[in-house]
Amino acid sequence: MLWLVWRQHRLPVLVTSVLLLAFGTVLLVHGLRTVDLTAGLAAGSEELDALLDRRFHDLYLFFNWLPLVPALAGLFLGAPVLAREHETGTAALAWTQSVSPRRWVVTKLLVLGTVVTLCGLALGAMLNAWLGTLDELGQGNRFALVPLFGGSGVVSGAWWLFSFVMGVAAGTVLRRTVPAMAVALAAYVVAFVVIVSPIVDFRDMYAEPTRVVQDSPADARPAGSVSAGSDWLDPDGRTVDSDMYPVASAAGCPDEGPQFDYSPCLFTKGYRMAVEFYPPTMYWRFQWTETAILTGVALAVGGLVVWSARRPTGGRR
Amino acid sequence: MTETVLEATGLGKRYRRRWALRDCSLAVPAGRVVALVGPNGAGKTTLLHLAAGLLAPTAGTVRVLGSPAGHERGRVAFLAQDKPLYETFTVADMLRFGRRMNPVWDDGFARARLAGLDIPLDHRTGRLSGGQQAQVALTVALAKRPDLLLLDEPMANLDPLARHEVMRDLMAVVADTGLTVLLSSHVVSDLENTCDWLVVVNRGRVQVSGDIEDLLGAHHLLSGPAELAGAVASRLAVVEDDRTDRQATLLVRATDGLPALDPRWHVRPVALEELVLSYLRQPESAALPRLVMAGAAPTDPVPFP
Repeated sequence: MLWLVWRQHRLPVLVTSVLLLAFGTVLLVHGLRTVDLTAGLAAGSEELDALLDRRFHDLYLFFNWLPLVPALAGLFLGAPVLAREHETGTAALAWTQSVSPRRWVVTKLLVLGTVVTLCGLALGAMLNAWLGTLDELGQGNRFALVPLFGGSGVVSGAWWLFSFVMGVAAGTVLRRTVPAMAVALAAYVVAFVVIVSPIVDFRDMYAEPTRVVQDSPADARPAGSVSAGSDWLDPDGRTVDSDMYPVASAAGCPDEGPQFDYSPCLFTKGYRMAVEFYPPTMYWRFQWTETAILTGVALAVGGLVVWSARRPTGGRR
Repeated sequence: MTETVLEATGLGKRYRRRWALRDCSLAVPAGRVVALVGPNGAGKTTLLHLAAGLLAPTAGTVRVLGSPAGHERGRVAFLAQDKPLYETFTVADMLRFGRRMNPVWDDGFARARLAGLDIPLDHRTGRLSGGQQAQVALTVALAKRPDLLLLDEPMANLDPLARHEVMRDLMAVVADTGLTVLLSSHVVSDLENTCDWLVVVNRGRVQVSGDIEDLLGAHHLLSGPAELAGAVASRLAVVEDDRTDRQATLLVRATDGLPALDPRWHVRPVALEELVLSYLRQPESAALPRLVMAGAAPTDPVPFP
């Protein structure tokens, strides 16, 4: 069976490996150069900060495409697994051999799922190593920036696995490759939007945010924190509103329009601001939480695919 | 050989609202070459897919080699209608596929067979001719050394020469190994000289199942004056009754031999194709052996109304 999996899926696996290798080489060369350039610069110096910032922005534009990468695992490795067998009629060949359809499906899911997860983990590890060359800037950005959080660490592997399993499941139901690819992509995008979008604030459920009450305009949050909201407190400590403009009106600050920054006025009048945020040290906790969620969904959907393989071309209705 | 290789009891398969196969009961003894005939869409493919374990029955059961279909996977080979192969695989890859997917695999047989057919092992299957693809697919099916070979329209899309070769090769293997073959076709002449058991499927129902020699021996074509037809119909099972004002042609079934008839009847034996066509034209007629099976009422021949 292992030979068959390799023989049928070697092309996308090889292409993925080559692309990962190329991407890793770019990161390696760039990262080693950063280390060279920063040697001898004093920690915390403006010169070093400016250099690291420049080094980060060298590649940042490309990172905006990172969230699309796991989707490809669903499209090109996941969707064809069952859809193409149905489409070409080879299902009748594959599932009438001594190897049972269930074992066939389990083997394909396990082997390809492992390969896909390892690819995602490799990408995450390479990205983490590169971010490591940027010191605190890297630590902050890998947490605060959406494409870097999903593309780095362990959650990268989980996104790849999730996308792959969605592709396989879509192929099981639709039995045609191209529609299965479309549905796999849609499922991935929906999951991504639900988890990332500020409308749902899904990631806010991963942990309780840190709350700091500040009485001056200076930002109390460490660099690279992810904001979880803020509230104005009146001089008596009661929560008033998160929006500054009505609070300023009530406090009697001179009206300068809704866009004006009233915080100096409010702070002088005794108002304080409670900010909630996740510091960058929460990175691994968020990583493992999201990994657990995505892997759990992937395993459940994968289980359904295996269950449906009892009678591969049509069960009792 | 009295072992029953394929046994269906009240077997039915429904796709949404439509029954593709209904109330199908039959038993096929081992060592037979079974012709499964019927018009397009009659339920032949569904029956084969149920026997191969690719479909689950909606009603009834189907047992293959003594176990529910889909259990004796290594002993059953199935060749689907479009003779699927992995197009990007070379012929050698297809053999490797068979070897990896089956604990019992006769690689020497497969290679010798393909060499005899001049099919190169290093060609991709997608670039072979239709006849060669059919031969590769058949080789993969046969090299499993199955006890039951299910072939869905093995002759479809083949030119007459390739048909002849495929059939001849198949019969050689049957003679060597004694495997049971169940092959479907809607062209009866393809099967005339090769099969020894006939199953007729029509409109999702099994109409005829039996030994071809017995069936041909039991059926007679009578032609004679129309006014005598009524008397015959009251004594014999009439499959098809074709009357003009004066002349009647009856296909009758007389399992226990033809009784004495009015001498004005002209009696002649029936050919296989005539027999099949008569049944297909008369879906209400049926010739089924009495099957005594657990849970199933014996199926009587249904008399012509």
